[in-house]
Amino acid sequence: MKGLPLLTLITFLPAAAGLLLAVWKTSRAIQVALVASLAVVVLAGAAWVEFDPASSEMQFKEDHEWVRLGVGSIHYAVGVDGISLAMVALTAFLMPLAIACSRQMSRGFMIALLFLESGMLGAFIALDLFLFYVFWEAMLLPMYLIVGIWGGPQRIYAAVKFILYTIAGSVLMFAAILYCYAQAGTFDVELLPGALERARPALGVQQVLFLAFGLSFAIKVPLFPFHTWLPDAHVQAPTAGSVILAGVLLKLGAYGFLRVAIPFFPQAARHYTPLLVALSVIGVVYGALMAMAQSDIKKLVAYSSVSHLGFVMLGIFSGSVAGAQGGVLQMVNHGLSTGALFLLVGIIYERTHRRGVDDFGGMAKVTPVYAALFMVVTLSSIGLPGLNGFVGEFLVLFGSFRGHPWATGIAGLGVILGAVYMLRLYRDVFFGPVTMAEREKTADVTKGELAYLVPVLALIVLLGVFPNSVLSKTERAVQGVVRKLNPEAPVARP
Amino acid sequence: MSGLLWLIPCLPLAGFLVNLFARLPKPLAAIVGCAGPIASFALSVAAFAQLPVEQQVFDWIKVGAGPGALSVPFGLRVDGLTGVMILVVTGVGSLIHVYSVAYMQDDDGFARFFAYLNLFMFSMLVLVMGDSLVLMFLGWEGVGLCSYLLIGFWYKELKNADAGKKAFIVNRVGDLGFVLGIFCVWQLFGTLDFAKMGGMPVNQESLAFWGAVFLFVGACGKSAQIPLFVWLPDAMAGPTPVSALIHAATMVTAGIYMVGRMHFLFAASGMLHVLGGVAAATALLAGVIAVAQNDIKKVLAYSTVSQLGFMFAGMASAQFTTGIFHVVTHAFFKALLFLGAGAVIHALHGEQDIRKMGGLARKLPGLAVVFIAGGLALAGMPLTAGYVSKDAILAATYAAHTGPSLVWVTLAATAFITAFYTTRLILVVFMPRPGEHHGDPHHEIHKPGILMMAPLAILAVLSLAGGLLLEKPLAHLLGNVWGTEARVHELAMRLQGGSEFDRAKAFIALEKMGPGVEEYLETRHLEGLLKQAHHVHSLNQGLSIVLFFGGFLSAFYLYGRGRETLKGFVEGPGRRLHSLVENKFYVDEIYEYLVVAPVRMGATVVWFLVDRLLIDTLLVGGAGKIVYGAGWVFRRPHTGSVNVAIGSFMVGALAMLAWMVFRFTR
Repeated sequence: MKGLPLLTLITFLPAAAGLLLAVWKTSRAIQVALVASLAVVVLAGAAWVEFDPASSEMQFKEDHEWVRLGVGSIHYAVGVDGISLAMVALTAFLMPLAIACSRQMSRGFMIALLFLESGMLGAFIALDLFLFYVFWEAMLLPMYLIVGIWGGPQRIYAAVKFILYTIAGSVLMFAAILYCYAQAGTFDVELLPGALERARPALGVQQVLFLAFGLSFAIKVPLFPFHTWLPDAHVQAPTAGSVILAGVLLKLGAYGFLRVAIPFFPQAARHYTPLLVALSVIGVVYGALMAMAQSDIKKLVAYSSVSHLGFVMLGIFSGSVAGAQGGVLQMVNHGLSTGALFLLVGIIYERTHRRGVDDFGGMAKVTPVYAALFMVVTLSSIGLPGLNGFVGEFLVLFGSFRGHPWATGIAGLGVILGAVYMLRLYRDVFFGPVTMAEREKTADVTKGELAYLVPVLALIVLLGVFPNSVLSKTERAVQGVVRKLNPEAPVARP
Repeated sequence: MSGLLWLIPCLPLAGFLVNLFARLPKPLAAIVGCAGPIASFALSVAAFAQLPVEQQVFDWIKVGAGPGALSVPFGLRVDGLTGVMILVVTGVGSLIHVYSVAYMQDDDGFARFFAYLNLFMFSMLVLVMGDSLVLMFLGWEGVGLCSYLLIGFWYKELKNADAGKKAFIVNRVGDLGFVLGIFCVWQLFGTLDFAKMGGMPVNQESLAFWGAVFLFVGACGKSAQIPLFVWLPDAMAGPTPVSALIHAATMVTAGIYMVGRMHFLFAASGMLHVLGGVAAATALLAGVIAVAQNDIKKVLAYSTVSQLGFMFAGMASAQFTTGIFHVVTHAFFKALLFLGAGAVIHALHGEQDIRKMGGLARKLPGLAVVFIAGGLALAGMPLTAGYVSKDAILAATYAAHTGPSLVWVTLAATAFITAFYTTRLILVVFMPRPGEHHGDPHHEIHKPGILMMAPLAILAVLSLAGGLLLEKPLAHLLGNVWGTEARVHELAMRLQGGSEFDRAKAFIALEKMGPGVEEYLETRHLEGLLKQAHHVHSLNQGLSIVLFFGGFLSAFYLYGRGRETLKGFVEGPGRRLHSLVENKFYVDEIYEYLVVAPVRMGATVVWFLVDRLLIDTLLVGGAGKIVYGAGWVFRRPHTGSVNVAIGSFMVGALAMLAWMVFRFTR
């Protein structure tokens, strides 16, 4: 186990399978993809078990020089701490589900998904800023294709909007990366914070750099008001695309803040904390209000993501360990709940080719199992204690209450509104009499669909009861980030 | 025992899982559904015999280590207060489960019904057994979920689903208060464990005040007080056993339990006055509305809201035992009334309008007897359970305000109204009307079987005798929870000085504390004052008796023997007044226009104006237009070939890079 380049295997296995599919014109592309992604699950599981939560060091490190420059060099350096481990695990877990729900998709689609997985995993484990950027950009293309080729009627518009938004951010990020290199003479993510501190750039410069990275990440999160690409991309993307987009891609934005923006520019981060807290809280309430106004289920869920990610960002910038732990846990939770929601919406869409809130009614009678599963996911999404969503939300609010009592109170409104739009959705789709005769014959979930739904639901329950299984892994890393924002790093001081 | 404590909530949880997944035939589903609560009841009795017991089951949420860390174990603790609550919840709960077997026997969702009921039992037991505020909140939201699921149990009618949704969302407003309250408590005490914070001084007054305010908002949601009471009457859309169990006997009293659990915070923060005012206003308002309702379940629902006000008033008097005492007796008689109403509805094939009933005493004499027993307890007939506990609250309120106060007068008026509407209900439903021939207006009457009647009979006995039987043991048991020694000392201090009335007031408090007090007083030669306290108490007792008979007789005068004395008034000069009351003072409509509609409309307007127009079209689109415009200018010298575009991008990037390297690496 020890000598194995575990992270490299995890990261490049999907791409390798993708290459294989590119040359091997098989009709069983989905099986190949499934096997590869399940192998990643096994490997990521091994990493999860082997990971030592007591250590604050990066683990499973690999480091090879890649491109030698005049000063320093670009490395292929990878490794994980608790935060990236949680994200790797989430990515590995969601990918087989996304593949399994794409039975009708072509080989090309599978290739795109596999490359996408490698790109995302790489971004989470990269310990070299340049490498991070390479992976960051590498996953854009497959996602662009997934939306643009296999998406809905307005896929081109959505894909272009997605890519333009993201590139607008990454251009700035790239410039900032180069500047950091110029200052510190290294791309090493672990060394850069110290090196930048020694280089002492003026506060103004720090702030500009923080904003350059921050904007790129904020678009990805997405933080209000950079969110309008999200509803379009979600609505047009095929089910698997939505699952991965919501489940993993958005997390990269929050991850960027945790890994780069805050540790690199702590002073600037502190300076902009009020702004980010304000945008997060606005996002929470605004996203929820927008979700209330939607009649397309996918759009509703997309806006709910804006709201949930607002919670994540509020937690990260709360300046307390409890809040940031909640934020990270909420990243995982949102991946599971929203991923599950998109899977479920995909199932009903496949059957009826409708996904308007008003296109259904009384489905609890027609498809009882589906209704029950949807109920559990709904409850998870609105943060019912006992399920996963509660612990994250609670910790976020708990952690931010002392530093930002008003923000906490306003974000709390999001919790109320969350119940409003989700329960309205549930009521309109599942309760009442069956309004349309053609829905009477809609089939309930099949065994095959259960096979990929049950694991998510199981995790939704398990993480609600045993949130410590994640919290204990991420605690050290989160503490490190919070210290940057708030040197006292209280859990949540009374 | 302490190792088995987890079984008390988890046995019903197991029942929930089995009935949810196993698809058992009805008889088996019924056995599974009833076995959990009954076994929990047995275990509760066993636990009750060894108070206090506690058990840490596992670590639930943990952040950080050492002092200042947030650690929320799944820890259960049973002290006197919790002991009383779990006995009521599992005891009354078991009876209602048994009753439901008969009530729901023809329903397609039989197993689902018991699954939800069992899940409710689990949540409610966690709520009262949890050793920290967070665990209490787990139960708190859990019972809310079950309430939502069971109100909308017959989901094919949107009306029911809507009532469930309303209950959930209104409760969410309260829950936000609860959560913010938790945060304040953490700031105050640095712990969320009840036992640890109980002994701590409360030294940040404003934080304590806000903590108590927020927690009380939570209590207002769950226990249906002004301004969040609007969901409870609608909640009657659920099957009647649900109304009995969740919306009368147990869940809705969670707010009172919480105030009892956090009594030190409420007492220290000055919130008790606010609480008393809100409680009395709710009691009166709901009592008045109950008079004008014609749906048997609505009458009982508003009566519940009103009685919950009484319970809060008891808590507000700082004699917390009185509030909890009323929780217990109310659980008996209101469960009985709801189950009885269910039997009536069942007998009449779903009829809920009392104007179409009448004369049921002759057709269902057994049912009439138990229903009237429950009704008399609610109305406060002397010596019944309802009388004893309600009288205790009146006396405590009187004492707390050093004499007649607005709160006390309001409660007394409500007691009168309670006797009035209860008597009206009984007369209209059970007494024959003149001129009505007893041939059946409906189909055949559906007689309740033994499974329905046995629980009713047990509850009837408890409703009549439970008050006198339980008053002293409860006072003794709960006195320990509120900290008798500290209170006796404080009150004894007050006895030394102050007005005569102050002393009398202290005495009433002392008297309720049970054994030990008299000896304490005798050693100080203060027994003479005990008499004065008794004097104040008997004044209130006398008043209670007068109020009951006043309400009873006036209702009898107006509605007895099928009279419809008020008909002329209601249809004539009092038409407007009556419809104002009948429509619940239009509170629902006011909320609709002031809160719900603006938010709903606002969301759509903002979506269109801000999201679509401002951000997407103007900002993003505008930026795009500028780029396009610039592109149009710069496009002139270009061929439009991709290679050229990429090439120039590279040149540009390299130029930037070079500039930066040059500029910043000197």
